[in-house]
Amino acid sequence: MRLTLVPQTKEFYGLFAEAGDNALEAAKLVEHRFREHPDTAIRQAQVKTLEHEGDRLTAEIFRLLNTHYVTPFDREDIYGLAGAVDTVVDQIEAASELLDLYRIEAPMEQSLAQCRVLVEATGALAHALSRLRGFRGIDAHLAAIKRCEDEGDRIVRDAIAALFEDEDVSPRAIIRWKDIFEALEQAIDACDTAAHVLGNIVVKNA
Amino acid sequence: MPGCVLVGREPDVRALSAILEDGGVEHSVVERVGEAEHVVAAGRAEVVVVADSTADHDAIDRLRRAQPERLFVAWLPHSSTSRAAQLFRRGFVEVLDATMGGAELLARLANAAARRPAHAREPVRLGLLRIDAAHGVASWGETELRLTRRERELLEALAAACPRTLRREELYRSVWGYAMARGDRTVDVNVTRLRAKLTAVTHDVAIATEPGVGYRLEVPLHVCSAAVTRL
Repeated sequence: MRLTLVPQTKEFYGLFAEAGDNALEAAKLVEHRFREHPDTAIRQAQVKTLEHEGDRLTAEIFRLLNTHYVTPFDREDIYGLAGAVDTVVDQIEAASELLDLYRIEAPMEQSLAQCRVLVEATGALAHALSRLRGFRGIDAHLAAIKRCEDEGDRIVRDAIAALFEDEDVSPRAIIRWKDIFEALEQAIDACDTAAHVLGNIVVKNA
Repeated sequence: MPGCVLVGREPDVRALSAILEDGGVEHSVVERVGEAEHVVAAGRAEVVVVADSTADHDAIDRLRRAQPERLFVAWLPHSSTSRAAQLFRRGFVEVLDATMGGAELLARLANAAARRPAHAREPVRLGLLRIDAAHGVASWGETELRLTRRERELLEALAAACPRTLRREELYRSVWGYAMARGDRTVDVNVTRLRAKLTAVTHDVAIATEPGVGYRLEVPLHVCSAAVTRL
């Protein structure tokens, strides 16, 4: 394996920006899929393709790390950030898959609200990742992700409460929707985790 | 609790039969699906409990299609969650197994019986609209409306209530048999599909939305001179 001493920071920044855009695209696709379910033209395979693209970008960042002596910031931080962004897409894909797995007949309003928050959070993450070079203008996006996470917490609490308001709600509906609400919440939380990793990198390097 | 017919061989059905006996549930035990057909056709059973060991699945499916208003419940002599999931997917409304106590079994049966739509027994007619739940068909004049079971039951509930508006929660309870969770859009999605199918056939009947409340069926007077008729 060839090890280069020449800094190739541009490639790292470009890959992180691509990974952020990919996460945003996945969130938009899933929001669309939930909103139009069950009559949507968007298939889970399209979401899966974006998940594979996320894996490819993460692998490419790791490959660069292993072949470059000089990196734009600490290796551990690059590993941590790439993994955290990849997890966002994985969680989005996992939540979307439940629509088919549980044969969901129609969406619940609360899941649509979660999807909108997810798009907002991944949008802020994508903006933050596109500004890694120089670490400027990132803080506002990290604050936006935190707000999304708070909003996501509020929605998921209300959503789960709605399932238990009437004791005669179908147990199967409760099982299905509790899982889906929690999966979407995990995707929003994954954005917050990535924002934390990114925030620490900014503090160390800005 | 309506009468039951228990389809299966000894000793698979012995325990369940004893529980039904103790619970005072009128039931008969038959070995073959063909015999169960006679019991159901004679009106002596509303609930058909099928032991999982009953091999003739095609005959059971035929009976279910022919008697859509009956309740079909599966009985597993040995508990198996994966098998129970398969049976639910095949259309059984409840799956009972030998690990359940007598009280639980009877409660589950009674609960399943209560989920049966009360209006699903007799055909409903509203002008040219005719919904025959027993045979699983709905039509407008001579034209058959190709509806799913949920859509047909929604239309039937709306027709039976016409011209009153039914709240979403009422529709959900009537068709799905459970309470609607706040935020559930199942009724809206099915009404949208039903509305599209009706519009493709006629403009003389429409499903009107009352925002924030629910839906009602609108049929002009020249089409519907009389109120809903149960045949």
